[in-house]
Amino acid sequence: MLAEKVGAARAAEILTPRLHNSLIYPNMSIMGLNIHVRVIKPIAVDRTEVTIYPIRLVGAPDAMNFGNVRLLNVTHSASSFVQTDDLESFVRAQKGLRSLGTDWVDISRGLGDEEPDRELNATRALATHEMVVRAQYKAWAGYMREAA
Amino acid sequence: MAAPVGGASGIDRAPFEQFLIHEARLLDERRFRDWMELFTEDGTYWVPAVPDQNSPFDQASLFYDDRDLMRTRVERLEHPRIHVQTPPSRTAHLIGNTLIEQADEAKGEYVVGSTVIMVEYRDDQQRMFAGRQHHRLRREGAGFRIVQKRVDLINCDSAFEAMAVPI
Repeated sequence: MLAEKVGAARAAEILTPRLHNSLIYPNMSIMGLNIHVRVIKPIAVDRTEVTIYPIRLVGAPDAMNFGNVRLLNVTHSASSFVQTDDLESFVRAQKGLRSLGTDWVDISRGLGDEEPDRELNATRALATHEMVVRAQYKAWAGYMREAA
Repeated sequence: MAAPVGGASGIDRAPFEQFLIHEARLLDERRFRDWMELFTEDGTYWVPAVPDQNSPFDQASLFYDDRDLMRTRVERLEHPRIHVQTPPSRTAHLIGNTLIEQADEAKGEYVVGSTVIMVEYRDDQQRMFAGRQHHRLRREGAGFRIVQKRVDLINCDSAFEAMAVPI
């Protein structure tokens, strides 16, 4: 159907997933994999309310829209398999932040252990290392310098 | 003459109440796998996210598990390193105000309404859930199996901290 409409080459291009995440500094993120909108509302220094809405695709089959709702229930509802462990991590981080032991948030985990990924022309680290956090702040600082 | 109180008449409520108490006890004893086995193969567990929610298919729910998702949930709850259950929740369910709301004796299918209160204690914090629940039950042998369990929490559209265990 798609091929009839736009031609085989363009259809193949559309159907080939090219997922990437975009960050719009300081507080917006567009993630190619997710089909929902998440609004993160700061309430107090130790309290954040997250509301999440599934996207209903106009004209899409019911099964596809239910697929989106089902995925949201599994990943981001209050009882989900993913968000619940995330929330627990945030609660523990907040407990840690109450400590007066240091003035700084330490994001040095895995510093120096990064590896070049020649195939992707990128840098690679273990998923639990904080390379991504460091890279995001570095990029943000860079963009601000460029704009100044 | 007394005003009608609703519900099917002439059916002994005791076996239904006993079943609901048994189900609640499995949850309180963290026997999640045995709890899951109470459901039919096409059984569902639903906790809507808004009052009077019509359907689990076109909007998000707090829980909407078919048996596949239930199995994943149970495996997760049994995993020794599940963060949100380290330490584990302790719960106490109280089931009451039970009413057999629909009965099809020929097919052996019933809808049983009840009020549920669940108190959950974890990590030095105690919180309470309450609402009306409906069990669609199918008679199987001497007992029942759950075709659908729906729990309508009175605060279902509130913001929640993580809900790790079923209500």
